[in-house]
Order: sequence, then C-alpha cells, then structure tokens
Amino acid sequence: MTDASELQASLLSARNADGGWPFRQGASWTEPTALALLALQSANDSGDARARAASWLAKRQSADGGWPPCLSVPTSTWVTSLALLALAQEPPYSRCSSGGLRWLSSHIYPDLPVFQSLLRRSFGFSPSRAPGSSPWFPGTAGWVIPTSLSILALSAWSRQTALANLPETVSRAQNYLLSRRCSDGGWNHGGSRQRSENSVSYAETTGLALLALANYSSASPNLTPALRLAQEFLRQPDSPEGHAWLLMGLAAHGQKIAAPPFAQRLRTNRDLALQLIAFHALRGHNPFLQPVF
Amino acid sequence: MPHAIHRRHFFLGSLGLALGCSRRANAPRSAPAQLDAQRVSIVRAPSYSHDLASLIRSVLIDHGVAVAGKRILLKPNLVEFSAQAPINTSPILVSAALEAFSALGAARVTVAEGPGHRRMTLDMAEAAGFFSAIPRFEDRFIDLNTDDVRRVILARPVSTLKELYLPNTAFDCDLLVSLPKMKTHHWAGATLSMKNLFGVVPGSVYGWPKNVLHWAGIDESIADLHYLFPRQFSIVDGIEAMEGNGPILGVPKHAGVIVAGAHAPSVDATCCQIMKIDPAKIRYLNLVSERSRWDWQSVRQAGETIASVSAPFALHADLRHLRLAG
Repeated sequence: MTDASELQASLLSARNADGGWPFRQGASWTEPTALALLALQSANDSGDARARAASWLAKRQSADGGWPPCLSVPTSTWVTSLALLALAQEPPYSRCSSGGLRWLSSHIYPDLPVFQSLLRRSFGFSPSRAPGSSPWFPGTAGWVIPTSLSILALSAWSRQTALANLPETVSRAQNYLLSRRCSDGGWNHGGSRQRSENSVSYAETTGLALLALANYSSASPNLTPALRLAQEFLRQPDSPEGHAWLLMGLAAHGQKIAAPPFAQRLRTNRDLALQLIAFHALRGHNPFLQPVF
Repeated sequence: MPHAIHRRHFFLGSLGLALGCSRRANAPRSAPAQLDAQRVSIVRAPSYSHDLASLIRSVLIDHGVAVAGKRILLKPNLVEFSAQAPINTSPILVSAALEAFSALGAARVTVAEGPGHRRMTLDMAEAAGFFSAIPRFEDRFIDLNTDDVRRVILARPVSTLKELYLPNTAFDCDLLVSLPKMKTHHWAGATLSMKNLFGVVPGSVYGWPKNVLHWAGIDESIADLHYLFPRQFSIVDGIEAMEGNGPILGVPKHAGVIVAGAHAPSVDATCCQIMKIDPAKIRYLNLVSERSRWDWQSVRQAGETIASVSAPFALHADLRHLRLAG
C-alpha cells in the first residue's frame, strides 16, 4: 500500500476551491467529498481542509433531510448515508443528523404486505423493493451497496438518535444482505437471481457487505464462504476500491490479512480516500464503524 | 480491400435505387431520402487482426459521414473486467474507429462510457485492454458515470421518464458513435447500438445498475435515449459476439461481421436478422417503428447480404419465441 502521508497529500491536493472534491476533475460531488472527509478523519487530520469539507457537506443538505449527489441534481439519493457517516465525527454539524436519519430510514423498504409475503414464501417471489433494502435512487429497487452504507450510517448514529425501531431497521437491512448472497458466498450488486442465477460476486461488494455485517446482532450467520472468498479476491484485487473494501471487511471480522503489496494505480479521489481509510482501518481506526463523537 | 468494399457498396446502392429500393411487395412507408439515411453496411471482418481502421474509414466515406473538423464521441460497451470473454466492445475495434475518424480529419475524438454494474471504470478499462490498445487512453477517456451533468427534459417520452440528468460530455460533441458488442440480452432480447446508450446515464446520479431505466421500462427507456441523441452513427462489433444468457453470462459466438449505419434502429434490426432474432419481436424496435414511421423491413443493406452472414444465436430458454422464422 502507498504510504499514508502520500495518500493524504494527494487527496488534499485534489480538492476544489469550494472545499469539496470531484471524482477526478470538474465540480464537487457529495460522494467523493464525504469519502475524503472520512479519510481525513481516519488520519486524525484537524486542518482547514477537514473543516471546509464538513461545512461543504452540511450546506448541501436538502430540505427533505437527505443529500443530493451534486449541486445540479436536486433529488436526495443514497449518498445521504455517506454524508451522515462523514458528519458523525464532526460535532458542530450534529444538527444535520435528525433530518438525515429520518430520510435514510424512510428509504429502507419496509416488510411486505401479507399477500406478497405469502407469495414470497410459497413461490420464491422476489420483490424488487425487498424488505430491508435501500435504493440508489428513490423509488427504485434496493441494492447491496446502498443498503450496506445505510446499515453503517444508521449503526454509527444509533446511540445518539431517538429514531424509533432503529435496531430493527438495521437488522432487516442486514437480513436483506444475507438473502442476496451469490452461490459463491459473496455479493455482487444484488440483483434477483432470475436469469442471473450463475452470477459471480464482486470484490468491492463482498468487502463492503462484510463490513456492514460486522456487528450482526442475530444468531451468527455462516459467513465463512464470504470471508474465504474475500481472502481470495484480496490475493488478486481487480481495483483499488475493491482492495480497500476487502481490507475493511476482513479487518472488521478479525481476519488475519495476508495480502501481497498493492500495486495498482489510484486514479480517482474515491480510490485515494478509500485507500487511506483502509490503511487506518487496519490499525484499528475505521470511521465507518465509529460511533458518533 | 477497403476500396473493393467501397465499390461493392456503391454497386449495391445503385442497384437498390434502380429497383426502387423495395425489398418486399408492399410499399415502404419511408421516403427515399430517409431510406438512404437508414442504409446499413454489413462488412465481413473475420478477426480483430483485419485492417479494421481502413474498413471503418471506407464505411464512413460510403455513408457520407461528415467528420472533418467535427468533435467525435466514441461510446463503446464496457461492462466487465475481462479481456477474453466477449462482454465488452473489443478495444482493438475502438482503437480502429479512433484511427479512422482521426484520419478523416476529426477535430477531436473522445472515448466515453459509463458502465452499468461496476463503479471502477478506469480499472475495468485497463483490465479489458483499452490502455494497451489505445495510446494515451486516459487522456482521451471520460467516465460518463462521474462526468458533470445537466438536466434534460424528455419532451415526448416513450417511457415514464419525464427528465434525466445526463453527462455534459454526451452533448459536447457533433457526432455520438455507438460502438456496441453484438450480444443477446436476457431481458431485451438483443443489446446493440440503441441499448448501448444506457451507458450515457450517469451511475453517480442513478446508481449501479441504472435501475431508474428499468423502472421506467427497459424498452421504453432505450427508445427515449435514442431520440435524445439525433446525431449518431453506429458501428457494431460482431466479430466475436455473445449468444445465450447475454449480456454477461453468455458464451462466445464468432459472427465475423461489422454492421454500421447512421440510423441506429436500422442497424439493430439488421443485427437481429443476422442473429436470427425477429426484429418484429424486439419491443424497443417496435416502439421506434410506432413513433417514427420506420419499418425494419424497408431497411436496405449494403455490402454483404444478411443471408450470407447470418447464423442463429442461441437464445435464453425464456426468449426462444424471439427466433426469426425461416
């Protein structure tokens, strides 16, 4: 892995004048800015960049409580999870949490009505808006990545919020993840099995889902195949993003990590931030698993 | 060889005009000028070691595509990390297209794509061979999933979409060149130049997959995206294609053709016939037909005939009703 101070310097040099981050170049977006802020937190950075990133995020919160992906899109989306996670370690912005958490929990799909639930049990009916899942974009189907990030955000704030049924909501979301495992034990984007029954897992979704299942509260699910697959992926990671999530997912389950040195180029600010977070996660400080303040 | 192809196109084109452009008894609904714009070239290309740049250049000249001084956007189909499985458009073909457009005097040729399942576009492009096939690839490439976006209102949508946020790069060009892989598709039947435009919808707004298009109707969204980009040219990579449970889990199918033209529905309908899929049963083609007074049976092919290159593509068990009779 690249030296942490180099990663941090590269990340800082990539930020825009408005205090946010672009994916590579251009306007600032919520996702890279939230990830950059999480990365600076993991590195215990207390400089101006961190304060400005937090301020950038706080200012972009919409009236509905959620966050849009960027300034030119008004709709609040899945990036609300990342914004909440990033602001969880920034006490001046705790006021953002109540609206954000309300938005987030209202975008985790509820249990099915009785009739659909019967269909599901009897005929294997697989609803797109599966109970416990979160969509990328409001109103569409639930998927593994936004659901995993919802779990992490709700868990981070769980001790600080009076939101009703939060543990049950998290548990429902974790059960959704467990229900969408591929036959190889890991996860891909999480589509239904119809006509995709032989789909294989991806490194990044397997690592992230494992991270979101780190504190699974019910009887321990058998994650051995997923952990074994994650170790396999880690021997030959296909991307820096996959590599970072795998490290975090395995570390969260107390797994010994024996990965060869990482040699791929970091081409996006998302890569830089996730690598920096993973570096510190391996040393016991993962902001995705940190309770609020 | 490119010149021979050119002459053959010219000959077939003249013959078609002499015969009144009609391949069937009932008169086509489209006017002659439209028919010419809808002409589709079928060119044999047995392998990627063929002189593809010359072949594409000849096709562009034959179709009278205005390239000199224009900003060209090449939109391949990049889906997975594999350089072997025929999931992605071959980077060799993309490189050849880049060379052909540059040779014809394009002011700028950019390559852009927004993959639908995986978020790490550049890493995928590297693994799929784009960095090694295309010099200075990273400088030429735009990730449409993370490009800055603008709001686009759909004036007369076919789907339930009212608006889309789309990447600026997709509009900042004079010609959008759809470079799809010829593949079966387990929901739409076939994924070709029209379906390839799903890749312009930004994942950073709509997610991975771009599920908002599924909810608005896959076929209807394909039609909507077609109408949003009127300045298009299509070049379909049918050299090593995919059959069966496409677009990802299918198996290789050697078809040995490149299919090209300025009218994407005509190109796609031609590809369907090559794949022995009935264009009349492909819903997104029907939607265009209903909206645009277009009839796939009136499309003229130049170069090879459909019959000379067609070979049935294996279809997913649920989609066997799409098989073209005869």
